[in-house]
Amino acid sequence: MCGVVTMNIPIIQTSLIKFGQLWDKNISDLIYKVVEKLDLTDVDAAFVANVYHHATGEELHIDNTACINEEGASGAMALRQAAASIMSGQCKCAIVLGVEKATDLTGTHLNNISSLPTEEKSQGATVSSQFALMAQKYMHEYGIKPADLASVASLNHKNAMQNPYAQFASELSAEAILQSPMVADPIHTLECAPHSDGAAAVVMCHPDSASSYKVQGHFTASLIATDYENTAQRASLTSLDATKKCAKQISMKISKAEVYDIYPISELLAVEDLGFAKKGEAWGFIKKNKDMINASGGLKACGHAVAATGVRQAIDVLSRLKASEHGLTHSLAGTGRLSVVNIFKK
Amino acid sequence: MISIPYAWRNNRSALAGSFCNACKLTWYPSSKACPACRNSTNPVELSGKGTIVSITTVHESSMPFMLAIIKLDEGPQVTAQIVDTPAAAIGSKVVACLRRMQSDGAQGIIQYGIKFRGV
Repeated sequence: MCGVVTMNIPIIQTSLIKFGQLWDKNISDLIYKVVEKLDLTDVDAAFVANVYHHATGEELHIDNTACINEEGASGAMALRQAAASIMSGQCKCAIVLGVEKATDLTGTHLNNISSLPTEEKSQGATVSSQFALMAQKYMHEYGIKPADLASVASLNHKNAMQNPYAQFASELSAEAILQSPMVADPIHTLECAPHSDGAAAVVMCHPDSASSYKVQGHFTASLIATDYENTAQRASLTSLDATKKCAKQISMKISKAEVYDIYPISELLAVEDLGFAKKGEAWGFIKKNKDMINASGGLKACGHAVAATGVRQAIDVLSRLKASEHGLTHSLAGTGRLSVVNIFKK
Repeated sequence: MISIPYAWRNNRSALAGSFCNACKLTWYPSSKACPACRNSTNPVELSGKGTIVSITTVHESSMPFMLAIIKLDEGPQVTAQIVDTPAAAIGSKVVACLRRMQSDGAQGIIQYGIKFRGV
């Protein structure tokens, strides 16, 4: 069963650091920076998402603190846990903080700690290789070309040119992407979302105390579903069951979506599995709906500060919603062992 | 270093799977309980024959290598390296073979495991 939480949690403050290679900042510096403009007076609980350094959030001095590590879905999971905690009465006002210091680690280290079963890791599999296997199968079934995949990443860079918080707010042509070194065929280096440093935070309160604050939007539903960690054991290589199970629970019209484009193929699968486009038609849909899908520039151009990404997506989708519109964020752990879909409205 | 799964150390020359009498499903990697129904399973030796479902070349190591998802004739799928078969593609028939996986330096233990090659 897909885990559903529905509610109407007011989001009362947001804060975002532009992701990047922030050599002069450590984890604590990133946390201090992202919370410096927030008023934490009423905050009585913290949900700290971090993957690579077991960050404790001690900088916040909040006793009721929970740490969350669900890889790329950490930030989204922290939002969900904070909302559930508020609804249960465990706290009245919660900060959700996603923080990551990825540039301290080498690619080899990142590959070793990534969520793949031993059977796959011992064959040399990486997160990139497993998404490449999905991309190869997708190209074979639907006639999509490597240039189309590169165009997905290129479009995200174009979208990011309007976003002052994007790590790469510059054009990047599909041709340039195709000339970059191969990671795992057909995924080129410039099609991978970068491992970034960064932090993002939101503060949420109980619906009953909303009138005490300036409400920026509402967190209305959270859906999660799981699948086999082992890519080979999954029912399909051209869709992710975890995302499909979440999508079945979405009951409202979605106007904006921030989806998990760690590679172009993961964006295409998300757009189809979330029910926006039919199988094989995601790229056509994205081209026609540039304002709807990853208008921020996505992970590719905003940067991927892993545990901060789910919180960054929430801030981005909220900032683009008009009155009464609903928007969603979608993120994955590993190669699709977990999908978290959070839904917001203005 | 990534450790090699115990099932491969116990059964080096063949693929060790498991069969669930309740579901009538064969599983790989082997598991004492059926991943679908959690009933206990019986060990079964797989033929090692299969067909490539998807294949890529991975460039993230010093030597590029081919990695595929293979559907075994008995049903389950496995992620494994493809060797000695430069023309391998989706649909190619392959068979399991014992190959060197990694070694712990020049003096260290050499670990062996299963890869696949064209038929």
